[in-house]
Amino acid sequence: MASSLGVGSSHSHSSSGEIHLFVGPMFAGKTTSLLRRIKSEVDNGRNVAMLKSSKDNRYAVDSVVTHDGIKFPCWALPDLMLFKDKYGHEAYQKLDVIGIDEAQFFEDLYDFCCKAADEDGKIVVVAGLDGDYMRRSFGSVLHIIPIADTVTKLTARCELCGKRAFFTLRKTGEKQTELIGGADLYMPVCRHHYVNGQVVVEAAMKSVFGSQKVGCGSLIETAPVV
Amino acid sequence: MESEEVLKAVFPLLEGVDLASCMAVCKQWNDIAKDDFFWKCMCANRWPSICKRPNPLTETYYKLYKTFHKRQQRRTLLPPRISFDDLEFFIDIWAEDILLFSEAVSGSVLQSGFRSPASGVCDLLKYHLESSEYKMTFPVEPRFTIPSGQNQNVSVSVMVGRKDTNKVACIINKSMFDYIERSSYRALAYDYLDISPGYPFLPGIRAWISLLFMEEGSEDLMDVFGIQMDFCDVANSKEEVLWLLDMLDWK
Repeated sequence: MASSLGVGSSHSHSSSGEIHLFVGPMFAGKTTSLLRRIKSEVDNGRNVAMLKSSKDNRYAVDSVVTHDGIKFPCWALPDLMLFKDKYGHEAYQKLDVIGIDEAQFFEDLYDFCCKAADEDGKIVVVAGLDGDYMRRSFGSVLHIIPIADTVTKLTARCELCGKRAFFTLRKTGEKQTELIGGADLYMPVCRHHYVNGQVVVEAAMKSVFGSQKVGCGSLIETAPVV
Repeated sequence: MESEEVLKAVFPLLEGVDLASCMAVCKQWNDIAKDDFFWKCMCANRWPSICKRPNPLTETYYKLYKTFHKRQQRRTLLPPRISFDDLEFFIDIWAEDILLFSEAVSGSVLQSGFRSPASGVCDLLKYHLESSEYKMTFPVEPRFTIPSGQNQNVSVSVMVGRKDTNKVACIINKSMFDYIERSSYRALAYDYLDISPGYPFLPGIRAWISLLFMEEGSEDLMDVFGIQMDFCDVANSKEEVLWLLDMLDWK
């Protein structure tokens, strides 16, 4: 049962691990990039497991779904360090690649990535938000930059002008500590429209409809209020 | 000592930039300073290994020094090898299994764009359509509606054909319009381009397609009046777009 969510053949991992990081604002396609990478590893005959946070359980807890509807089985965990025990030590040994989605929710991200890549020789592919709606560091995602082999900052499209968007702006005036939501609460914006954020928020609140997602909702992420 | 001999003694002591300035003083200085011996000295100071071979790698040492003595500035793009007149775009939009829109759009139509309708378009979108920034848009006639419900999967495929070579490439392969911007009245889909194996080191480049819809619409249906395509990750001018399209994996 434990190894049923590992995808691919039993293929011994390389002696030295790797860490690859995808960051960016909401709706930038981080999950899609993660799954593209994971799928290519599966196609190369590698044994793969996908992990995501169990904190956000609005959608399928046992799979990650990309914007074009591709589903990938995954483990929903509160902490990454629980993975080895839950997955099974033998099955873990056979793993080559570990994908981590919604990485900003894992407080033990740095320790897990260090152990998996440095000690266990795994390829770890990580996707998560780099900043919150205040453009401050979110979770431990930025902490793993010094140990990462590659870092890719993806961009979304500014909801106000269509240019490349690097930041996430909250549309509402909510001040609670953690506000889970998607396009109804957050929008990707360029620097210009982030700086003029209050104008944007007011415009969005006056909008007849709130922004909404259609199709699969798995790209909906969360951004905290710190 | 004649002035010519003085110059021949001084010129080898100068930096390359200064020697080049001396070439602009007068005809006599130019004749002396363009002697490739001086430029071989410059190159020998900069790249001693190159001067170990009997002849310069380029026509002259002057050309070698002039070309490589400082980091190349970003050059302007060469003219693209294709034009929009050579291209035809095939766009199909589906809601589940129902075909909503299917059209072959010539490159020249996509390139020429269109003005937004006189009324019914939100200010943000109107401002975007009427701005001078480069964009590829075309009007949808007759207009069609797409459902905006949570359970509706609206997808798009875009192929492009080349009339000059009779080849076809895929731009978007059945991607979902999974993000609807209700503040700017657009629905967005994207896909990663299949770049020719001749360009093996290019990172993931995305093609974006947007459905532009009217402001007054019901909550369940969106009235689409135009379509926009772009490659804003890397290409933001006509020339850049054409170069990018030329690099696709044409079959």
